[in-house]
Amino acid sequence: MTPLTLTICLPLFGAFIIAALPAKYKSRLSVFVLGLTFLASIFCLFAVFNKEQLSFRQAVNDWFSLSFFADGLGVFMASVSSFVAFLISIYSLEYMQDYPQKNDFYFWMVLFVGSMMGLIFSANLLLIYCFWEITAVCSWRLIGFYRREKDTKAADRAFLTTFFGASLLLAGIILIFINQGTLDLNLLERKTLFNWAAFLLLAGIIAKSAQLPLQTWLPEAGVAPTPVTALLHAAVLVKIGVFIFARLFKTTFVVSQSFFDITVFISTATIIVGGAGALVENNMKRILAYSTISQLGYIILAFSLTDNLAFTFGLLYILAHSLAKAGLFLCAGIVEHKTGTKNINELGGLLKQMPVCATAYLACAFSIIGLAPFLGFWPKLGIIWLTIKEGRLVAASFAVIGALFTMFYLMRLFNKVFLGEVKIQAQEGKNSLMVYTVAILGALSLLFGLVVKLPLNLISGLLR
Amino acid sequence: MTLFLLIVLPILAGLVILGLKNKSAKRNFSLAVLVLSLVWSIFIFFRPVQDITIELLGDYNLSLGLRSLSGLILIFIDLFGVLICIFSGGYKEEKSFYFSCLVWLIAFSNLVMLALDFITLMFGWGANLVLLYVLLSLGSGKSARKALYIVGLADFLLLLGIGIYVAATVNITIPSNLGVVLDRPILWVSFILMLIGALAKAGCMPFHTWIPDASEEVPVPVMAILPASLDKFLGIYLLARICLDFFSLNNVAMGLLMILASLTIIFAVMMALIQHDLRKLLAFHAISQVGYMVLGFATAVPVGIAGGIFHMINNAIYKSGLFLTGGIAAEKRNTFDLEKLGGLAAFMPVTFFCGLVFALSISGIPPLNGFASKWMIYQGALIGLFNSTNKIMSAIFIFSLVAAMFGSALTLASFIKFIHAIFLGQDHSSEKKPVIEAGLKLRFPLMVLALLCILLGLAPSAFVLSYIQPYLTANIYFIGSWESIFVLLFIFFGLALGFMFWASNKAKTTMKQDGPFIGGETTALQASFPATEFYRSIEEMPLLAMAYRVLKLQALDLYNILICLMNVLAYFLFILVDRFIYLITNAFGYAVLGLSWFFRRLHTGLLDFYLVWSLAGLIALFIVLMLR
Repeated sequence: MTPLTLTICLPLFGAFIIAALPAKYKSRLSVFVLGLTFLASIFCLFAVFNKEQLSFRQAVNDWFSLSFFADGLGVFMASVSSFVAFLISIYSLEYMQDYPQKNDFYFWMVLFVGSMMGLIFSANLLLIYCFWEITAVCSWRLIGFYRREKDTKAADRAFLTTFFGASLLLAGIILIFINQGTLDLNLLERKTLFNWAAFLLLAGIIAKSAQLPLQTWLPEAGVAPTPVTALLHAAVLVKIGVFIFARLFKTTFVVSQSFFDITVFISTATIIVGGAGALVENNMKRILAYSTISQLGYIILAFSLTDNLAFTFGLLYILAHSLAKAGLFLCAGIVEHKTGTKNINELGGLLKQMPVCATAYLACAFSIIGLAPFLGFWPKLGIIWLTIKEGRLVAASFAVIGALFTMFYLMRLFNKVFLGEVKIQAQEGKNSLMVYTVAILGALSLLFGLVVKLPLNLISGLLR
Repeated sequence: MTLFLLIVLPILAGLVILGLKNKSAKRNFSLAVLVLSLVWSIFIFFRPVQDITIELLGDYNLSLGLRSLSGLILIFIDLFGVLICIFSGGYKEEKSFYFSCLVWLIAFSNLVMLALDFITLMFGWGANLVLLYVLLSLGSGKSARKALYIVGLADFLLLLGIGIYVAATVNITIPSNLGVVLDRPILWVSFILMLIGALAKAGCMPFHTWIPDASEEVPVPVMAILPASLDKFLGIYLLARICLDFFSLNNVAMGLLMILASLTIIFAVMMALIQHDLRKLLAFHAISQVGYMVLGFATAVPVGIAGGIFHMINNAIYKSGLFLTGGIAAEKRNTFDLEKLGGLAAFMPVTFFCGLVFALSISGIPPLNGFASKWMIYQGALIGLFNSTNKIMSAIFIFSLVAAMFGSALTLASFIKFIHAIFLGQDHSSEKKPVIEAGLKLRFPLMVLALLCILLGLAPSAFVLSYIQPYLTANIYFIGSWESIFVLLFIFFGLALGFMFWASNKAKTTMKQDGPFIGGETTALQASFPATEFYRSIEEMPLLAMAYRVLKLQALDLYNILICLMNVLAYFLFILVDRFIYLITNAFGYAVLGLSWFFRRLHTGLLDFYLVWSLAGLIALFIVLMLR
């Protein structure tokens, strides 16, 4: 067993063991499995950093093979998502304990992380597609967790939208096979991808990463329990699309400049529209969901630039956004858990009662807005400057307006929930695992911002 | 490495301070760190050290070093840190994170000053905004948010402007020689955006509205360090670099800046004149003074530029002094309302004397430092006027010169009110209790600042020529000579003469005092009016009343405009794009459901029905084949 196969197999098989175990062991075992997954991914990270080859190959036929490989992009994504997933699983120990359906929850969550790991390391396009659909099924079950009518509707919307994208993605994959005769990513490297196939693949990515015009499912998915929304919206699910974008269009295929012109347009439009939606909404989770839509636009924008630095900054943005957005969702979750409402107009004055939570929220919010010295500052600055450098001044201006939107909606949420008059009394509670989790996420957002050399060197070392 | 310590040490110390439990331990530890930082900054000013670079990624580095004015301003930043820290120790109880934030604030301001490339500059600059927000939230969330929105907007525009500049000049290090000529539209965009960033930090109109609002709620030391000194240092420093090093200004840019400066001077001082809250009065003056600095740079004449820089330093000294004086007075009487203060001079001679020095200094009374720098700015405007060949430019020069002088007169008027209302006249407080002089922790910073006012006022040209001249490309040429020592001698001579008259008259006559006489009836001796009363009439003068009504309009507040604009844009985009797409996806869903409903209806289960359909299909096929 290499660290690579461990990272994939642990959560994939662990999920079924969790499903088979009696209820009282499920929660702790899921934390344990995800912790081990994170450790394994860290091993992969160091291995790749030290230029070791990590791969696993089991050929089946000429269009399908059970093959995995670890490169810089993959191990980075795997470590970030497994770390955030691990933290979220700790958080859900306390959050989920009162819910009757929680037994299901751990199975689907761990399976979800497992399929994410599989997708990240897959070296075959069809294999990627398979894991892609497993994540879709998991997210469908997780979004509709409470099984009320509006939950199932939201889950159906998410599933149908991403499936619509995925079917186009599959069409793109078939086109690539007809054209190139193989689906192995290593063989496809540096091959020129014609626009038709590229746009079909893009459709899948747009649906998964909730970019315009397939973004509507993400805000609806806020009906799920908080750990799920944090996992889906912040850390893992939406990052799949972004990851595949990087995997296909940055490290594998060569695509034309006009393709990137389109993606720049889509991403900047998404930045603005997502930000606008977040400023209008009054439901905490919907605000954060729109925020995710908007922030993912920045990542796609970064990946659409030709400069190699932009790619590094895009990955740094993934790290910054995963940490901070998970923190924000989990903070919102604590507030919702303790007060019983998601409507910001019904909340207020919680700063005194929940000082740690409020501070963590603020740190994460500053990071997302892109204020120094928090981590989010660096990639946002880099992306905006590099966009200008490539002569896309209009896109850069929209990115700045998007940043202003971000400042407005995140501070509006803070003001309504934590400042002003107390409307609903609530205590965050001492020694609460949930509070510790958000405190860690907030602290990391600040710490990585101050010593940004560390993550930057790591990323550029991995990509070299 | 030495430079690095100026930043890393306070940042780490701030973390340690956050963990300390005891309030006095927090204060003492931060004081020690800040003093160390001050000593360090003085040391590196006189013995320059090597630049350092931390490589991040590609040409994105963090590089630190001393260039241009930064060494000088660095010393003042650290000095203010020390003084405010001492003052805060004697002031009211603060929140637990106050001292940490203070130390961090100094650390990141140091970083801005030491930045050699734009990315380092933006990092320190942005961190300052976060600390501004946190420190202002000691007052209330609302004023902190207002500051965050306005300054945050400006910061993001600055980011965009610098990005354009970097792309246009292909250089990420901060230039320290003659800047590029404003000859392309893209450079103009960059210039304007950067200007907004610098002016908003300094608090120039129209980016000023958060300062008066914050002043009413925020503790006085915070006002004294942020809007009164550090923000000015950073904003005007950047403005200096923009005007001197990044771009070479042309007439249009100069004219634009001068008009902005003149309007800021006049409008802010007019608003200051009618304030009854001493913090708001000072806040409006903090805005008005920025106008002078900007005006100095806008003249683009060496003496004017040097005057602008000098005025920045002077303003920080007396303005934070004034905030601290006001804070002490208000604490004694538990009110910031000028109408309820008065008569404190008898109880607090030292505070009164220092306050008087600051007030005279800001009003531009010789031989204090405020006069020296204003005089240099006037000279700059005059030289500019003489050199100007363009009629419009000449008119602008004259306009701004008049505005500056008029503003100075109004400043004096409002500070007579300030001094009279707090220290002189009768006590208008409700208790009318005697108070004791402020403690040493509060007095010491005041005395240092007052001493600086006097010293810099006595030897302005020595200071300017030895510390500011080296950073200018051209020599400073004074058209009006000015010897402070002589003036001081004259003033002392006049005072001595007056004393002699008084002493000689005292021997002969005794003062007679009469009670008030109203229609033959005796009244009590209560007919005293607060100093603010007179200024009310200004607000009600026919033309001015209209002007004030416009100035006080909430709709003109940039913050309200910004919020309104963002919300309108958000609703517009949300409904036209997001909800529209939502409707379309829903319609698509319903269409699919409708289609399936239709086909479901066709499945009746009756054999003849299926037969009819098959026949219809066959006929259709037949027709199609026939037609081909």
